[in-house]
Amino acid sequence: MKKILICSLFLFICNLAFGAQPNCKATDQFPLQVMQAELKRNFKTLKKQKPPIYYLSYTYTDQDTYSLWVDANGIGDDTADHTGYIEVTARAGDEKTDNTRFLSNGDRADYVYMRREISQLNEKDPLAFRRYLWNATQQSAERAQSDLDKVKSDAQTSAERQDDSNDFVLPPKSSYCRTQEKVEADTQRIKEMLVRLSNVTRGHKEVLYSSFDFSIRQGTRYFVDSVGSQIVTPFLWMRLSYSFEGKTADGLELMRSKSYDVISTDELPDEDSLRQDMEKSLAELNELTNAPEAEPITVPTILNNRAMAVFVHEVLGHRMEGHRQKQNSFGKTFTDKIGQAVTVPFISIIDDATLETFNGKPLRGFYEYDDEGVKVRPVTLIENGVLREFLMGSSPIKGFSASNGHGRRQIGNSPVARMGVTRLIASETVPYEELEKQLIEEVKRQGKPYGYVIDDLSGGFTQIYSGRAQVFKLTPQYVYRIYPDGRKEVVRGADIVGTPLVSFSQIKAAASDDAVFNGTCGAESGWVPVSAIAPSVLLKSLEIEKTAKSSSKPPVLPAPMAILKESK
Amino acid sequence: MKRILCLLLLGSATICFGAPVENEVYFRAMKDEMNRTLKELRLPGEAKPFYVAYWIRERFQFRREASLGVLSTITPLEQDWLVQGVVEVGTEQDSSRGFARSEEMKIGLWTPVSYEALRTQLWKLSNRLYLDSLERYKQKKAYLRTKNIQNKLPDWVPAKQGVSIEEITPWQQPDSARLEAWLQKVSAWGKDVKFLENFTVFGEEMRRNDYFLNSLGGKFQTTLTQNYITVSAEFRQPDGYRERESRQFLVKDFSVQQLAATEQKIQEFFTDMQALYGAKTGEAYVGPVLYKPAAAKSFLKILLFNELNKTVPYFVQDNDEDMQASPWRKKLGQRILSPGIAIYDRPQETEFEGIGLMHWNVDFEGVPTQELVLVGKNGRLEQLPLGQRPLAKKHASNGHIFLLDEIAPREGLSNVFVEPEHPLTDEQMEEKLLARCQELELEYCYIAHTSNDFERVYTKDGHKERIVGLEDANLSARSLRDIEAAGGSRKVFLGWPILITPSLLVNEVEVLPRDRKPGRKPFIAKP
Repeated sequence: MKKILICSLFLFICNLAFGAQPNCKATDQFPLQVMQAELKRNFKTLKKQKPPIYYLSYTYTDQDTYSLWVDANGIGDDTADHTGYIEVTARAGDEKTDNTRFLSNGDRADYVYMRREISQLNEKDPLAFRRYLWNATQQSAERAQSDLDKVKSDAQTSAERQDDSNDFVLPPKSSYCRTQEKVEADTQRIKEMLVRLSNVTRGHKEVLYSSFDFSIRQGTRYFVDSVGSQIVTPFLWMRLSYSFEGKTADGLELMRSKSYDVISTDELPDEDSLRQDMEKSLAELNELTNAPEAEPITVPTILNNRAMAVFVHEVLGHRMEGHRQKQNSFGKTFTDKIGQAVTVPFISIIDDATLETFNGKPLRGFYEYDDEGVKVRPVTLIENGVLREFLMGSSPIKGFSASNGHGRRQIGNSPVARMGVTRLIASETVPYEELEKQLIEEVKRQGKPYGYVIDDLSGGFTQIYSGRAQVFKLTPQYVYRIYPDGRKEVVRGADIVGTPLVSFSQIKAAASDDAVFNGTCGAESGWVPVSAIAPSVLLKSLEIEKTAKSSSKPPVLPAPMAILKESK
Repeated sequence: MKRILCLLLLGSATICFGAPVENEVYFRAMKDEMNRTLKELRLPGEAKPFYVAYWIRERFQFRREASLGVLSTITPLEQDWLVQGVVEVGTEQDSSRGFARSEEMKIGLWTPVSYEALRTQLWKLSNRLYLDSLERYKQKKAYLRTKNIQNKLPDWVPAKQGVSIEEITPWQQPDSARLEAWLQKVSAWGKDVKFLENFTVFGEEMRRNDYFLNSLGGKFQTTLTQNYITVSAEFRQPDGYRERESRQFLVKDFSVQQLAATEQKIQEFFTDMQALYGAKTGEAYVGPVLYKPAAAKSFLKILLFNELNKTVPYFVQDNDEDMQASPWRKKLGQRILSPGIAIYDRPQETEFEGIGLMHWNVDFEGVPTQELVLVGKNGRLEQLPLGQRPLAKKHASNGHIFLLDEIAPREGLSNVFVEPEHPLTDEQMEEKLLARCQELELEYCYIAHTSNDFERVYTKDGHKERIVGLEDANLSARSLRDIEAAGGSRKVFLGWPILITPSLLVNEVEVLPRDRKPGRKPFIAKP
């Protein structure tokens, strides 16, 4: 993923405790006690080394996972796991220049060192845990010193950096402790229900592949560092989802899918509701299979709320991440535009990962402290159309010397600035029906044959590296045309393409129907849970391209579920 | 495990023991989709399938690990189901078989378990395999034209098909509480060894059930369970060199008795680690080496068994030669080993000294398996593993088509037994080593415990000393003819193939220092 950042927002479900308040004392937590003691002992010596380890942090993540995969009346995966991950971050050198700097070729050493996986800490035997920490620290420190040599050598042989900000800003000292009870899900009930529901594809020749999934990831993260921070936070994500895939004779791949965010399995839709949703998705897949193919065109387009949420995340959000303003390898679309208008005046965009829910729906991107031990705060990226701030981790950039708590990563990766809960707010809105009327008016005004409504986006990519056009290409799952007479027609094979600055200047109106998209975003620091919230938005113009087709034929014979009427 | 076998040779008498129950759902799903594939899977104007085989593999993996007294896991309890297969188009004379593109297509699909789910995955699999076979069929024809190959051997020499159904009992997860407690206990012993930085012990049980059906009537259902305990230690030598040593102990199960018996072996492992810590670094050496069974396993695999498979070469796109095909196919009848040591492959053997072996009564072409005399007592290469694709004009399968890389069935071995005609005791082997040392007027010679764990034996008084940083080097097929003697005590080594071998005394081996760099000493003392 060197030249193109691919960030697919998979529909995942986020569930976090409501009303997050500290409910424990960090120093009472066994893992944290051991980590703190061992960190002190190690740091005392390491900071005197040449070059010194000037910052050290330990993260211990105690995690339970459960995953279930069902299809065609059978269970494929039904796995539970409990694992603890020890990770050590060592920074060698000083804040100005350390081992974590991106090299001139865009590479960077992974400086978070994961040493061990532990299934069960034994409070009677802290020595074993301390040994793991010691061993991981040793290896992490050795690597940090070696990587610092590479950074220094690279600095001598490379062109001057455009942004010579420090490599690190020490995080403020924090103390926070919140734990929550482990959720015991009624997985047996869900298993049986999904097996029954997986029979919904019987007789549907348009369905080639299907999948029914349920997963839970929950646990507690313990963090200590050499600044003196002690942070304990819980996490919990739960998801039920299904997908149906098809393929037309000319090789176009089609998909309809849906997922559900819940806090407990009791909150999942009942079986009848799920069946209805699945039947609707099957009807849409059938509709798509027989729909006309989209033609390349530039027309007025409505991005429906969840599609717009993905659009904001992909097209704009990634370009607002702090480290992308610093490295020469990125396109830096917005780097020098602080204080300038980048979209229409009635649009503001904030990233507020302190939001736990929106309209009663849990937000997967919620968190309290980032992966660098910094308390997250709301960040106003765009205020009334004007660019104000960037998302910042602990790597300062010109004009922004402190973290705003967005240094995030997947276990085993090194953090960079990432989104949390990205929200587009329109200060002027209309009802959705009015938005469609405005679309038709705009179609007529421009003399276009029709406009588009993008109902659902499955993901896509946006090019953010220098040396490449700063374009995006997103793949809708379900789109339809609206003709000047109000007639609607579903079409297949439409991609949306464009550039960020032009696209956001085309916003004409927004509806008052904000909705949430919960997903998992993949970038340099791995996969992290995110949310995006947006209303439906009318763009005066958006370019539609044909979707790339597969060169392979659809299967010669129909799927067995299409011909097997009854359970065998 | 109670084993009930039913071996049926199609066209001859049925041999049945007991009444094993076959997995009705699996075989019905395979049969129904196979019938549909043979009858209906055909693109207009293109060749149709003439041979179809499917197999379903159930895998259950239980693993628990502890390190320095703390439980850890690398993988959760794993249960999975994989469907794989072969679809060939054309005829027995002229088909898609035996042709490889630069990237050979290998497909395995994970599947949920139900009749419908298995049918669904078999349908996906068949479609992909059929399209791939069509492509290979055309490419093979073009290849034969380009290379002007007119009198090639047929692609298929029919052999009688067999049916073997072994009873498969439901897999029961081992007593995890007992194993976990034991792992915590023995891994905590590592804390008492001051120089060890880490000491890990894990116990693993693997159950594999295979279900096979082909369109010629060949069929089998077989099961294998293996249990083992693995220990590994990490430490730094006083001069900074990092050492990582591990050892695997096969056990029948995780019963109290088996675990207790393993404790003694773990103590021996600690004794060996103590001997390695601070041991001298070795220098270059040429002379006799006594390979203990674990080292003999590596020696034989490198020199012989790693290449004693894929016997019948493919036609390979853009190449004149199948570089993966066994070079040993050209040496049939030649002396390749010192006389007095015979080597057999016994696919139907179920266990050796209580350790479960891979047992196959029928191979992955549906042909009953046969015992092979790979190397006779005279040291000559007598037989090769063969399937139904011919190596020469007079050809018969000996039922040796197996899944070498878990995906593609090719000619291969199963359970290889190394059997000396006149085995020596451990003491006699060492005496012979010393005698040879004296004869060569060497100050010392070596015992290899593994391919990089050497022990020096001094000629003068026979005392032993562990040496680190050595490896055997420049081994060649010539070394196989340099085996002077073999021991009587044999050990089982898992892998493909499973190898049952004794110690081997090799007359002349080059042993050289390994190129390695010392690490720095820890910044901070161990807690």
